[in-house]
Amino acid sequence: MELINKILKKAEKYGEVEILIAKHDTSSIVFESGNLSNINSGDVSEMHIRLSNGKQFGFSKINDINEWERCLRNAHSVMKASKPIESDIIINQKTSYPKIKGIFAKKIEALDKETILKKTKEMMATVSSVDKRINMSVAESAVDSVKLTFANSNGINVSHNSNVLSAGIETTIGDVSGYDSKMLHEVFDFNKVGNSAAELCVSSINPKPIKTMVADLVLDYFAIASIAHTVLMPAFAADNVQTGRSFLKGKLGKKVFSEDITITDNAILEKGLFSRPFDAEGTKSQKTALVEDGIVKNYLYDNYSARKDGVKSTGNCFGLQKIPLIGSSNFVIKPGKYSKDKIISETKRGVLAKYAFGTHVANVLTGDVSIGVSNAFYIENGQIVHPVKQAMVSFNLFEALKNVQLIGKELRQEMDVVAPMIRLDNVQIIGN
Amino acid sequence: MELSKELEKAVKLGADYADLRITNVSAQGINSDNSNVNSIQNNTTQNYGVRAFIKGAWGFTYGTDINNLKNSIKTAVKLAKLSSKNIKERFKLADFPVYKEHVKAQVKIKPIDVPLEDKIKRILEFDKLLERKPIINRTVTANFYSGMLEFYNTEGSEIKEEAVSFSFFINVVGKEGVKIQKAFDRVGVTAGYERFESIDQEKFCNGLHESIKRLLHADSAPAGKMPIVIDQDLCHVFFHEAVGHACEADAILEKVSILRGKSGKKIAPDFLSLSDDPNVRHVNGFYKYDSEGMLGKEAKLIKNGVLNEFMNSRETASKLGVEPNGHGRAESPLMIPYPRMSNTVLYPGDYKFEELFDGIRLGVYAKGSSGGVVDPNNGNFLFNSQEAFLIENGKITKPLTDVSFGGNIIETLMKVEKIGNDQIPLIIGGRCGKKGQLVPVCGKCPSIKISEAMVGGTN
Repeated sequence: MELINKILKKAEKYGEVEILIAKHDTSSIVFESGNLSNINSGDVSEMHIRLSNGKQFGFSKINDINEWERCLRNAHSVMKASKPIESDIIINQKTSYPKIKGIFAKKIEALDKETILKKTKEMMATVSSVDKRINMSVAESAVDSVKLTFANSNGINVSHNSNVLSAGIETTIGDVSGYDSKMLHEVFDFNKVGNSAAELCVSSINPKPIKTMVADLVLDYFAIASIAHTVLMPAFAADNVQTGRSFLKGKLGKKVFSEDITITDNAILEKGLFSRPFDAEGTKSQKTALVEDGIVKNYLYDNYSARKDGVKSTGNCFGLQKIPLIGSSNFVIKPGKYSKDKIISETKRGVLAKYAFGTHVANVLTGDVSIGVSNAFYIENGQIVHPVKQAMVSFNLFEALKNVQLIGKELRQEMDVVAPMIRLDNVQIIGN
Repeated sequence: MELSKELEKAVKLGADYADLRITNVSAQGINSDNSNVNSIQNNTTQNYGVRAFIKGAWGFTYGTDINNLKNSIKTAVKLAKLSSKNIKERFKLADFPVYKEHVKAQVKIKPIDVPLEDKIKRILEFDKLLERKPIINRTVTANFYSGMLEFYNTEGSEIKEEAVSFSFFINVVGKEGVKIQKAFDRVGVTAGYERFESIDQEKFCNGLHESIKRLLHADSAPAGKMPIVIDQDLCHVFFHEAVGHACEADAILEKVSILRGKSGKKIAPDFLSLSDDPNVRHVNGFYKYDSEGMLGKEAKLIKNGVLNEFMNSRETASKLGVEPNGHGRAESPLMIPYPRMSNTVLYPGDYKFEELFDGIRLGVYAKGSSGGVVDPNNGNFLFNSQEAFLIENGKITKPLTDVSFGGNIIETLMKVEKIGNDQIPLIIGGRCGKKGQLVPVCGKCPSIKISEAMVGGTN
């Protein structure tokens, strides 16, 4: 790429440079209350430049790439203002990168707006066929193509393309709702999304209040994904461990969770929504064991935090704007052996929660989670008795994961979490 | 390129109406982690978005390279035509005033004009003040924004509005024995650097230090239903979540607001009046014009207990046949404007702060917000405090850890029993998420007593 070479050349006088460019090409369609509201299309770019002179970093980002010289100047002014860091800065050497299967689909690329429109309408027709009373408040679909490029002054210059198709629908009957969505690196059947949203809505009709109690909490895919993403994942980031912000500090090699818990961070997962061949520093992507049979095996590192611990980066640099800046790719919790029906039939008294509500207010440091549940169902003697009108749940996630016994056998990816259903035992449930 | 002339081409191509938004934002951010400045940012952002409207349907295009504007206008019209062919229910855009104005920010010092070195120095001063037991980790973050928002439409509006703001956060982690806790405080306002310089560093850091010490010795809150007293920050989050979202007109039209069909009906006690007002200067949700070129006006959501008005975008005002009130907001020109809140204003009541506690046998006093959420369709909401205290026999007796509160809009509104006379404009910043977009919001609220709410503790 000519532009990359121009930037590399111009940056020479400042020291070493790392460049990250993301280009998104997005089309989307929005229906509101069953009526077409918008058809959208856009091209959005973002360029990150990080300069370094062995002791100091300087960063800037810009989204009008024509203005790259300004971005370089801004990065330089930051480098001048920054304090030297304690260890030498080393940027990555050239290497080979893994090929990841199933993250770019020609069939998605070939979809035109008319086809997506047709698929979205069909999804809505499916919803109506389940129950005529259903209002479809919002139905959305989108195609997003991303080109990610990384280059540095050691000669790395790599790109990769991926695309995703997504569809989501929110259905309501009176004050009861049901939502479902799907995002995949392949063309899929929108009707399934419509069908499951509609069925969730219908099954949630006529909710009843429950009493305040200590009982079991069965977390469905969406619920476990949002809790794991918000509360569990940050505990593995090496910077949080190094600064004492993680409960996993000093726990390497120790048993912290139930022996049925195994977690990996897998950036090369086939069809993974967060798979990529390299991270933001151009480190080769890998699969990292974080927890094996309840024992903590590793943390997530970028170059800077890895040097601090005398280890190698796990390829989890999430961006160049902060040092370190660490994030998970696909956070995979290993499935267990129980079917959904078995988990429910094994539950004497408890709640099945499709969605967790307000996980962003949980205490990441202590693991205290005090949140709402929605599309929740009361379970008694192994059977779903009725939908729950309104309830909160309160527990310490880190403690609860010590005693997990029932883990589902099927996996589903929601956001960056690939997880089975999990039952947390003896949780405080606050009814109305 | 003359932008308004360029946009007029949309009409020649067949659009009934089109608008163009452009923002240019300079942002500087600094973050320090235990005296180590680990992030300095110096970024610029340019975004634009074009909407075209044809017979009740929208086409929308956006991008980051303004050189593509001509194409984007063409594509927006093309998409609007495709939308128009596929639409079932059509609506007409209601008349809208035309504005031509260049709004300058009322600030003394633009943060962008202050050298990075000076900002870093000030941040490290905060950091130093917190280097004391039982604090084991402290992160200090400041973000400064200076932007120009431009709006043009085919009716002749040409608006430029300058926006200057900053947000400042400190997070601390405290440890004593095996006990570990976190505390945070922040300032977020639409104001210049002079406001950042005016923060009393000692007072700010001492407050945090006291807070972390208390939290390390705090018990978990009780679980169950009980009376609560909440401070101004939490009062804002409560009304934002419990009432605000359900009063956004798109939720009414999409039939996902529990308040639909309740216009003109009593939903709260007589002494309760609530509005959403973008004109509260320096408070985080402040703006003069919304993202659709409409003058931001106070929306009187609840008047003496009666549901009175919703927040509208141009589209929802057109569909509902009401006067627009300038609440069509988008996070950036890359996104579509929807009805959104700005500053949630609860009118003050008659009670002194101490009187809010009278007669409470067992309850919780909570202060400081760490966020909230609502499902407007069933009215169930949740919000979380930074700190809490147990109330026993009308008095605060002991500190509790942070706690979440839950309830239902319809049930809980009638349970607002007392409103304090201590209304203040809030300086805690805040951003509200909806439909994948974050917009700055805040409020101006007093402390209140709610006679019964769900308290999500574990004891």
